[in-house]
Amino acid sequence: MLLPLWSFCAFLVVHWVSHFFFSNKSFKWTLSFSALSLIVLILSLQTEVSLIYVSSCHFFLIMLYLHLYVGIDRSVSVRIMNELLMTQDKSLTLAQLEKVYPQQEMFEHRVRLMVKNGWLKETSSGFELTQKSKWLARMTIFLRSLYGLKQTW
Amino acid sequence: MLCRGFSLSIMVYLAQKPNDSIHGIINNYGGVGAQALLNKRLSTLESLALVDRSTDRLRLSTAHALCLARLTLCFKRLLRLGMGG
Repeated sequence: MLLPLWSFCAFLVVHWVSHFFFSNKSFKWTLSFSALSLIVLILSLQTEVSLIYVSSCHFFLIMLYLHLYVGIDRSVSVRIMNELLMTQDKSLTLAQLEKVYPQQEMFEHRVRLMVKNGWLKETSSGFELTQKSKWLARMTIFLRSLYGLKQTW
Repeated sequence: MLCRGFSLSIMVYLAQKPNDSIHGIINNYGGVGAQALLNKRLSTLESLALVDRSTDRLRLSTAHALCLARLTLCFKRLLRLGMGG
């Protein structure tokens, strides 16, 4: 039972250390996942615990961590709370919030990331979806209608 | 993600209105515009008792809220993620 926890901790160490030494995000993740696979393999070979057991527990923990990571990094609500925390009296008016976290920047930052990661491409008149994001957009529209989601913003 | 995914909503918007500019995306995001996005986030933070909006100021209202804000900011700083959002 402790094996997946130990290997998960080892993954976290590699992941966090890689954040200090490398600036390329995809390289950091590739390095972390390569280290993770190696750790799982070594642990399974060194012990009598099955590879399937270690990997499934391990990838479950990694999935939880990924949700935490993305949730903290990309969440608008978390950013608002962080901006409030950084003020002297832990409060801001809406106008002050707009100054430190402008809506324009919020969107531009996200759109830039999506272009960088190949989800959007910039055209002369604006932005359009790439092939993979067309598929994802169609899937999202379908799933939202399936779940009957109305306020999806 | 399906319900609140920021990037997903931008994609869905661009699937319905291809080749739109950043201003078009901001003004028509989710069919309601960027202000609605912010209002929804603030309402949720308020309903979770993380932010108090009873005056004209937004305020971290509880010890929980302060703790959560500190933890997330530490995480971002530790991993040098910038301010995020």
